[in-house]
Amino acid sequence: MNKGEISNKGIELALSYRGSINHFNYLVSGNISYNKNKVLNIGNASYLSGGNFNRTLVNGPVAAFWGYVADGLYQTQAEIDALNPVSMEKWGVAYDAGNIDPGDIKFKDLHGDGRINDEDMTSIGNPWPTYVYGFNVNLEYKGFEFNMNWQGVADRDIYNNTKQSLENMTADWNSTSDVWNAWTPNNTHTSQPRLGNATHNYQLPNSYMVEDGSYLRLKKYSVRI
Amino acid sequence: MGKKRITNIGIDLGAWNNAFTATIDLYNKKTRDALIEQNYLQLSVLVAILIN
Repeated sequence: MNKGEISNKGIELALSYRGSINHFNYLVSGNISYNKNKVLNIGNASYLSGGNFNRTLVNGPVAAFWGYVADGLYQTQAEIDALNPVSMEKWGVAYDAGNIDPGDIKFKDLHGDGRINDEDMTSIGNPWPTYVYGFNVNLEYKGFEFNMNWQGVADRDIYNNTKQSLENMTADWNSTSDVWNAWTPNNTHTSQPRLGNATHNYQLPNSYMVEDGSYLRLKKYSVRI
Repeated sequence: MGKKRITNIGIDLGAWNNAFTATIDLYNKKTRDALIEQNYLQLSVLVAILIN
């Protein structure tokens, strides 16, 4: 059943200037828009789930990325062992379900209860760009023409879920050369988790997978003589 | 997709025989009944699709 109410507020600005100097004619134009996406209500539900790592809540954007906040990597077994007794005594379970080893991602205990569970998940990214912009340049001189069109977005996040396959080497999957930068006991100055930890917290939705989705591209250009 | 209500205000400017133009638009769009809950694939299934 369809439900909910969404607000999109924004501003759009477009500018252009054309001129000529002797036989040289030019037109320069650009536009930029700012948009704020916000969910106003979702009926009686506390949230709507949009996939493995998306959640829609009131006052947030539609399908915000939802997961654990990555806070570096565990470096030593002693660091992990120091966390488990507190969680075992208080909750009867190991910290982060015991599924961690040195080189695994360290999740923030946002709930502050001495263990990692669903209550530590939060909004970790916005898939909607705040800014969308573009600009065009058109030049003409005695029959010679050059046109180009640039387009971009800014302040937008993406959830790069393929990273856990490309960087992980748990199975015979495609990999990138990034695997050479993975954490090992001899390569601890890296933000990239150790290889082969697919059964551990690497596969849980987390902010390590969230990347800046901003871009600017030359969408089209043409030359005519 | 849903019911929409759009409030929009804009200004168009031109100068120097329209060699320079500017357009500014402010909008406030509200959409109702656009969200729907659907079942989705679990993460393990999605990972399996990525295998060679």
